[in-house]
Amino acid sequence: MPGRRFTSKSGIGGHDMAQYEFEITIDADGQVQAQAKGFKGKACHDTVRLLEQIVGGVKEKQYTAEHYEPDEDVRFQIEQKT
Amino acid sequence: MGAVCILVPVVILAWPALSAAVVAAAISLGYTVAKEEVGQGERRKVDKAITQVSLEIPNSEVVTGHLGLDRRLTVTREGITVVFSRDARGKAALCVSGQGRREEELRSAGTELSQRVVQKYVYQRLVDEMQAREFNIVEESTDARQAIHIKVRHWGS
Repeated sequence: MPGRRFTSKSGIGGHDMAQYEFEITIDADGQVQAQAKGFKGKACHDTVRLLEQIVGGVKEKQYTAEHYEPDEDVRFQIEQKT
Repeated sequence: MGAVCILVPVVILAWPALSAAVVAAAISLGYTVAKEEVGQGERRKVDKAITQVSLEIPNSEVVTGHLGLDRRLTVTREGITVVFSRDARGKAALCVSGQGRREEELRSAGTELSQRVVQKYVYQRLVDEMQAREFNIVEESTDARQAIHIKVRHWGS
């Protein structure tokens, strides 16, 4: 599979360490349920895109309150390696 | 929390990765790996007492060059034989057979095994991709329903 690079950068004064977390359940039939925590604003979209690229098609998705909080200079890049 | 989603896996892999996933899944379900072979092999006599069903792994594609064609992996358990191969359309296919077995029984066994193959494939892919992005696995468990739970974490600076 082509590799992809996923980088994150939080620029909250350079002091705080932001925590990003995925809780993932892989059911016995292979279906995946994932919760992305700590991602705000636009980064939420990127997390869903990332999971989609790794696993496959999105069947359902729901953004939580954190999604509607302003970005904290958190940036995610999903790049396709050649 | 930022997002919650449910994803349906798409299995795109080369034969070696499929073979590894099949072996891992088969062992976890108590199967024994009988043989991996290339080519059509010797033709077997069709025994009327042997029931046989053909299945495929949904949303799968076995990408391969000429070297990967005609490969087959056989696993067995309690008189049930499952042969994995790449079908003409490039999908991961399995043929389940067993003497004196009912078709539903074989279909059920084949479906269980093929789903476990997908689970093993998805697990390995998620772990590899997350670790490549500097996420660490902080928790991992398997529940009674055989679902795998993993928690991965990354600290941004």
